[in-house]
Amino acid sequence: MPHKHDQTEFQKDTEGPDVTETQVREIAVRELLIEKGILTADQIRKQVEDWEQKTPALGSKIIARAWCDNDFKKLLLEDGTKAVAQYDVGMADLELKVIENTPEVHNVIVCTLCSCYPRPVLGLPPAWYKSSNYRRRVIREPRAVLKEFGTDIPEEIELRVHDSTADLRYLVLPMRPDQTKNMTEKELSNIVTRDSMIGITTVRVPS
Amino acid sequence: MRKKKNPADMGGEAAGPIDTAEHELAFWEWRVDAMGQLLRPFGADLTNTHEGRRAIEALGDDYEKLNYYERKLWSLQALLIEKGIFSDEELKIKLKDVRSRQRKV
Repeated sequence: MPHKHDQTEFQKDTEGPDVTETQVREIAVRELLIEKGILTADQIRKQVEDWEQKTPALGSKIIARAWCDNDFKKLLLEDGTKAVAQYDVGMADLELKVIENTPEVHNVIVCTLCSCYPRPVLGLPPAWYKSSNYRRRVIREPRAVLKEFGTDIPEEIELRVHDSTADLRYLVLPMRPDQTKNMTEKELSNIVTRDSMIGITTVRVPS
Repeated sequence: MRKKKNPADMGGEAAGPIDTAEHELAFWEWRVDAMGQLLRPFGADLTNTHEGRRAIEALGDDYEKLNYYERKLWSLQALLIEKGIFSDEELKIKLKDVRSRQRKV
C-alpha cells in the first residue's frame, strides 16, 4: 500500500556516513538542478508523492469496467489513450494500446530495450519487468517464462509477445474467468492483478 | 562479423532464471525517477523519453555494471551536461562538496 513519508524519513538516505557514492551523485545532480532554477525541491517531493499513489488498482478498475460495460470495452480496445482519459489518466505524449486475451490468443508485454511500461495506468513497473533476464528471455521462450510465473499456456493457444516502445505502451485486457458471473464490477476489480495486466499470469478466482 | 550491439539490445539472448522478487524503491531511486519525469515534455521540457534512452544506451560498458536507477542517474547527468545546464566541472565541485558534508554529519 502507498504510504506517506515524513520529512525525516525522506532524508534518511541523504545524510550520514552510510550514504553511498550513488546517493552522493543523486544529491549532487538534484542540488544543481535546484540551484540552476530548473526544478524546485517541492516539485520533486510532490512528484514522488504523486507516483507513490499510482498503483495497479487503477488498471484493475479499468479492466473490471471493460468486463461489465461493452461500450467502454470497445472504446478501450479502439483507443486506449482516450478510454483511460475518463479516469483522469493522462498518457502525456504516449499512446496506450490495449490488447485483449481471448480463448485463442494470450498476450504478454515486455520492453526489450529498456523498461517502457503503461505507468500512468499501472504505476511503476515491478523489478522483474525491468530485469535483463526477463527482457532477454520473454521474446525467446515466452511459454517457459510464463511457466516460471505459474502460468501454463497450452500449445494450442497462440502466445503473442508485444515489445513496447517509448511512444507506444501496451496493457493486457485479461479474460474474465467463467466463475465470476455473479460478481459486481467492484468485486471484479479486486481480482484483476498487476501481473495479469502485464499478461504474465491470468486472472484467477480466489477459492 | 557482427557489429557490437548497443548494450540495451539484449532481447532474444539466452539467459537464466528471472528474479521475481518485488523491490521497493529506495528514496534516492524515487527521486531519480521524479527528476527524469519532471524534465520531460509536460514538465520542464528539457529532454524526452527518446533522449533518455539514447543516453542510457551511450553508457556502453558501464551499462552492465550499473543497476537500473544508476543508469537513469548517470544518463540524466550526461544529458544535463550535454545541454549545458551544468558543466562537468560544476558537477565535480558539487560531488566533492556533497561528500565533505556527509563526512561531517
